[in-house]
Amino acid sequence: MALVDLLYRCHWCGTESMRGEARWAECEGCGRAFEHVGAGGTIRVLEASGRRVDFPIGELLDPHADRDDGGAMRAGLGSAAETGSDAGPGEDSHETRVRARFADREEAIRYRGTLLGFVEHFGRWRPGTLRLDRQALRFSDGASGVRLWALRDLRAVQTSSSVVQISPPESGVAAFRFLDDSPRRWEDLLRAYLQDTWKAEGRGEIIEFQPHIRSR
Amino acid sequence: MEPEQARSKTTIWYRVLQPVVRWSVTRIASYELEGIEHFPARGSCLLVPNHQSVLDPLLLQGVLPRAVDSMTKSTQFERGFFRWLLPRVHTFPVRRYRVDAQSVRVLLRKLDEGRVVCVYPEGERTWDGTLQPLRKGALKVMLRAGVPVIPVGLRGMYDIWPRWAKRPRKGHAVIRIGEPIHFGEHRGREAIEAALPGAEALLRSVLLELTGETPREPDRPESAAEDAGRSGVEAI
Repeated sequence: MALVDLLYRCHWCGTESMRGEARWAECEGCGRAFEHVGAGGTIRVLEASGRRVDFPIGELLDPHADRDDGGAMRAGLGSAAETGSDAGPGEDSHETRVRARFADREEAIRYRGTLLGFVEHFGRWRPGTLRLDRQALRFSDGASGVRLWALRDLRAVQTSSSVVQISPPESGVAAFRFLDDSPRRWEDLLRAYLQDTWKAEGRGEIIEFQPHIRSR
Repeated sequence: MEPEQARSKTTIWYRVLQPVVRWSVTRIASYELEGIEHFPARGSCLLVPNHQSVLDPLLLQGVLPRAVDSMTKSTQFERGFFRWLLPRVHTFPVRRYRVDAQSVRVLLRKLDEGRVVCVYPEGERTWDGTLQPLRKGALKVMLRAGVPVIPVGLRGMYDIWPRWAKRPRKGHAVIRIGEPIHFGEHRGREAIEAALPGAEALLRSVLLELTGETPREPDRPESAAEDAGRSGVEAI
């Protein structure tokens, strides 16, 4: 990953036209450049005018921060309540290329005869397409068909290093590595859609997404 | 050799690798260690740091004077070499996408053996360098275990290697060990649930202070302790 995977949407202009590498990113929408300069997670922002301003990185992720257009950074991520979107079920979808793998069994880890725990046994990585809409997450690889998980049935969502993992209802884990997109963006998307699904079904507000989805 | 000493001895792998790890990590991260007097010389305890970087466990295991057992995400054990090595350096797996009862059993067993066990209460590395919400599961383990909880504030590790960066860069880290917190031993779901809010507030305020994110205000310790006291948690 790189800074651009974290700051995948410009804090000011709201467009997802960030590019960059390592600890540097630039918005092609408004021309601002972002650099991680350290000092406690500080990002130095270079504006088109040449002015440099330092921000804590958390402020650039704040969905309620001020922006050029007065919107929210994560606007459009999927929360109908936040975006004012009137998109109906299934109308608001995202798609990207991934490599996926699935763990459907676990193996014991022992040391000197003592059971220390269990680890997943993953299959091989398979290239394919991941599609998210307001109802479900789908993976298709063109060969073995489509795997589909209804959002309402997912048990956990998390990012592990650069991989987004979900815990499907039937057991096991599915892991997705993003080839052209930010894993952080997809984690945010999934969580926003799950939040909406839970609320729409009267299951409360989700307060934890791992180790299992917990609401209040 | 006393039975407890025999059980809690450090593996040869840990002893051999500790100086190697310390040397390697400190090529990247120079460090200051503050509050070492709060780190118990013997007996079991839970070490509870904030989590800024993938290097955090290596830094702590490298510089602390006692062997630290670490709960680590299970996918780290996936590859053959690490599956072989990690148990030998006092590391055990936790499945992060489910409530992992086995990892809790192992953790409690290690505490019974008088060991130091490290748990990251945020459950994952921070994305933005600030303290993330503390996981209920980690707090429940602390309340159930009944051993001293040693809060640790890590600063600077995020700038060295944030989770979104491919590579580390050199920097300076500060490890601040706080005074032990004695939550007491809570038995039963109701007792643990009742103590959770106070424990969470107390631990969070202490970690924020240790990491320097929020300077402790004069009236905060009392109010945090009051909250904790109401739910059966004591700050010492």
